Amino acid sequence: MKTYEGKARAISIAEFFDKNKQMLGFDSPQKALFMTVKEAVDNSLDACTDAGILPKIEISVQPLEKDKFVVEVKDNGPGIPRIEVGNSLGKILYGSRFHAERQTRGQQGIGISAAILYAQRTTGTPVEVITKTKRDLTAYKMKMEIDIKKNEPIIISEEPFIWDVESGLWIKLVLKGKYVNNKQGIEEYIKQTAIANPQTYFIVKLPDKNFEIPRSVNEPPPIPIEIKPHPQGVELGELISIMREFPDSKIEEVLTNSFSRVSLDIARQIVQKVGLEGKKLSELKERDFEALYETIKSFKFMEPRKDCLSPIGSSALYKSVTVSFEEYHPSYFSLPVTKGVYVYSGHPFIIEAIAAYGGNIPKDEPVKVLRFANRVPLLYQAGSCAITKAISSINWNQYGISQPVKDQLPVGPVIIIVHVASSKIPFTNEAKEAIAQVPEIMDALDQALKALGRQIKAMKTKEEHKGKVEEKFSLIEKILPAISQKTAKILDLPEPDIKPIISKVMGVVAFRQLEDSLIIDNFTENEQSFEVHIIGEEKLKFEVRSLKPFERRELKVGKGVLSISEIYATLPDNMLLGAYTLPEAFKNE
Amino acid sequence: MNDKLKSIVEDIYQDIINGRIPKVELKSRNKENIVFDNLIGVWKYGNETVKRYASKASSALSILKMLYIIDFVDEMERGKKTSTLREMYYISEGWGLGKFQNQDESDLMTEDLEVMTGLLREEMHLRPEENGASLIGNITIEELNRKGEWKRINCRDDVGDAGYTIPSNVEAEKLKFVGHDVDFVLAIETGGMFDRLVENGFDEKMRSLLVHIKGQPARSTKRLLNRLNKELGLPIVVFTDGDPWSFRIFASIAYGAIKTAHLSEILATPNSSFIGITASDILRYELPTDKLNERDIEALNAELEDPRFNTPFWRAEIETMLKIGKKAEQQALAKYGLDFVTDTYLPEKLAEIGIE
Repeated sequence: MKTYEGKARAISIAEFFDKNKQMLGFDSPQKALFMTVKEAVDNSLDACTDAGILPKIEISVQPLEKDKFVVEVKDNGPGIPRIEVGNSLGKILYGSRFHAERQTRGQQGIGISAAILYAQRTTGTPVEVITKTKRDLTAYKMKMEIDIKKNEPIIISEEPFIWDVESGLWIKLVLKGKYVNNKQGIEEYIKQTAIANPQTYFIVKLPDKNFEIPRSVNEPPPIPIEIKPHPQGVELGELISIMREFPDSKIEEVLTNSFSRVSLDIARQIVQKVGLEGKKLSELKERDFEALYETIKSFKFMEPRKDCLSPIGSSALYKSVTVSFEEYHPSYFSLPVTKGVYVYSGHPFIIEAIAAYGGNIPKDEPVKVLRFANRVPLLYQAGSCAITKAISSINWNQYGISQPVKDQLPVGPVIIIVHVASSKIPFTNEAKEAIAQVPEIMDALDQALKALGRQIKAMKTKEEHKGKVEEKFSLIEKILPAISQKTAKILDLPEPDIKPIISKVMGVVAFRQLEDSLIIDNFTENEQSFEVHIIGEEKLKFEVRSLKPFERRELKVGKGVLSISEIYATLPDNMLLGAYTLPEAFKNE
Repeated sequence: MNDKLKSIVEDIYQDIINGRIPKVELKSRNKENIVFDNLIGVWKYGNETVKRYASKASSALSILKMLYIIDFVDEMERGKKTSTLREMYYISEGWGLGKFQNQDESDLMTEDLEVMTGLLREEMHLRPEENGASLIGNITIEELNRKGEWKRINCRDDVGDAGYTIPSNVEAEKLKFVGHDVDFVLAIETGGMFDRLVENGFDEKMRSLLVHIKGQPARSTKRLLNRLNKELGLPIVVFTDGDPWSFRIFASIAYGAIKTAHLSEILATPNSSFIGITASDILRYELPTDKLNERDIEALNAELEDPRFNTPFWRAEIETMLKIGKKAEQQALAKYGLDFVTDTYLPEKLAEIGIE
């Protein structure tokens, strides 16, 4: 699609998309309603991120008459200057950042316009836009349509409007749709969006429920910076359109100025190799571009800059996930795993992943997978997505998670969250529903997931330990005292002391995690001295000296670390509860 | 409080006082420990015992639950109450950690206590739901009613057509035999056949006591048959449908069941006889039949391995049934009219086993 350029071609774009709605995901009334909300929200989040604003987004979806809905999305972003509204919302492929390499959610200039187009075509109602920028004293309310033949906005009306905010954008669309609240519905989309955008405050009104999602992180995400495209990642059409912007310049100048990592020296070598020395761009023919393109691909360049990405960030992701999955009361959360920055075809990318384990997460269902691309949840096309494929292709049995069918999702009480951030996500289609299986990305996903798998294994072992430990403690703290009381009551005799039998029953040093502490009880009949090794992402060592029978020691460790670490002690296995004997191999590490 | 129950509690108390892990000891329910006593022809527990130590949470919990039952039994004893097994299960809701997960658990634990103490559950004031079966015939009994009076009943003259209902406790403390004028007891599987024999006056005609055992008989029914046989010397004749499941009804009356192996001596009546319907009857009387289904065939094959059926008679009958692949109901005898069973079939068959 990106090879189109210029007005004459853009006309056919609007028409083309009008006729091929499914390409953008507007393939059914239900999906259309979903996509409309999604595009508007993505747009708002991008705008807020660019302006460094902590987003507050109000979403309302209300039924009008049987199959008609009003969708309103109101944000606190920077707003759009009055004179820009038409072009930025009402013209397909109006991308100010079309050639920029940076991480954004929106589909450069297509998404929201497609929603406007769809609304217009299904109900004939123009979109209503209220915008307020910081600079303007008042907000403006405009009604607008898209001229499909010309791919031009038509402003129907425009008037000042009182909206008491510093800045913001408020879009109101009336469209034909169908509201179904399921796992691929608007509610799920918003909830998952909140996970990847924990800085956002959502206020949501849906036909069947209203809810709010507060922020779990209060610092705005870093603003992704814009870099020039990397020569390795450029496509032929893109190359031509960039080059044609400078008809009077020399080829090597444009190569140096419009792309990153191209030195003048290399640019000259390229031009020389193609045999275009001294030519101006306006003199180039189609096949010259092709030759130039092929030559560029044969050169080695420095890797692209990697600071143009805006990952969710480890601590933000951890916070967000622990808050979002509270309803499942998971027993453990993994530490976030970050892999990258890596590069595929000249585009930098980074993988972030985290997992939750146990609690009320269903044990007998396939693991729940949440996929994100540039902070946007992917709810459709799971089967063809690189993330799902990467998870399925790992042998989970080695991480203690059952995988009844090879190359299928494993089964167990696990939620896996994966975020791929890139200046250009290789989607499988224009609706941006699944990530393509690019080898570099697959490798990175594999690494990230295996790192997660190791943590999941540790969490599973801990859960099993926890079961044994809880059982023993319920025995000595509840059941034995109850037996003692009951016998005494039946026989009408004084209640016997059960301490002597407790050390007989236990005969171990017991380890329990309580919040951020490791509690150690000596239930043996002797004093014990030993080392405790906590081995996970970090390795910690503690010395416990002279722990007397029935004495307790508390080690402050930190909750996150404890959750995903194995606990070892230098005591024989039959004297340990909730910990393993430290293997010889670890002793001198 | 009952001494046998009390000593269980005392043992646990002594264990705790002396710093020993509390335990209970019971007969192993292991299949190998339930043996068929060929001499007296019943299932019995062997000598193998298992100890449940409170060092495991699950065992400790079952000890605690047992203590709750003992306390509950003691309470009923003092209040002169009884409760059904189901009622006890619901009462355990209030027992905290001692609460039963389901009635199977509490029923099983009651059985454990029976095995450990040799007491019957009725003696522990616990009774099953199932109302006992009924009987009709010229026998006079005395039953201790809820007012504490011995009520004398003649089971032919003082009852309606449904007969005398067998109470859940049929021990001598509750039910006494006063006198009788019958020659044998006929235990009948189905209600339809029982009613037919009653209507045809078979009890008087053949000087018999008719007992409707209602399918697989309840413990009290088996116990009563046992007493009728042992104390009054009456032969027990079992009359059921002709299928593998009915054969098992006979076996449980005659030889006891694995589940109640600890009570075989008081529940089983090894010298009972089986009168029919046999596989040979099907052939001899050309009875209307149904085809054996897969489960029937499986059951018959299992019976060939069962020591209770290891007699020439049973082997021949089971093999015949497998061979003809057919089964028949008691009421199939109606093929030859309503009186055929009382006028022809039963007299012929009874004569074969020496009752005329």
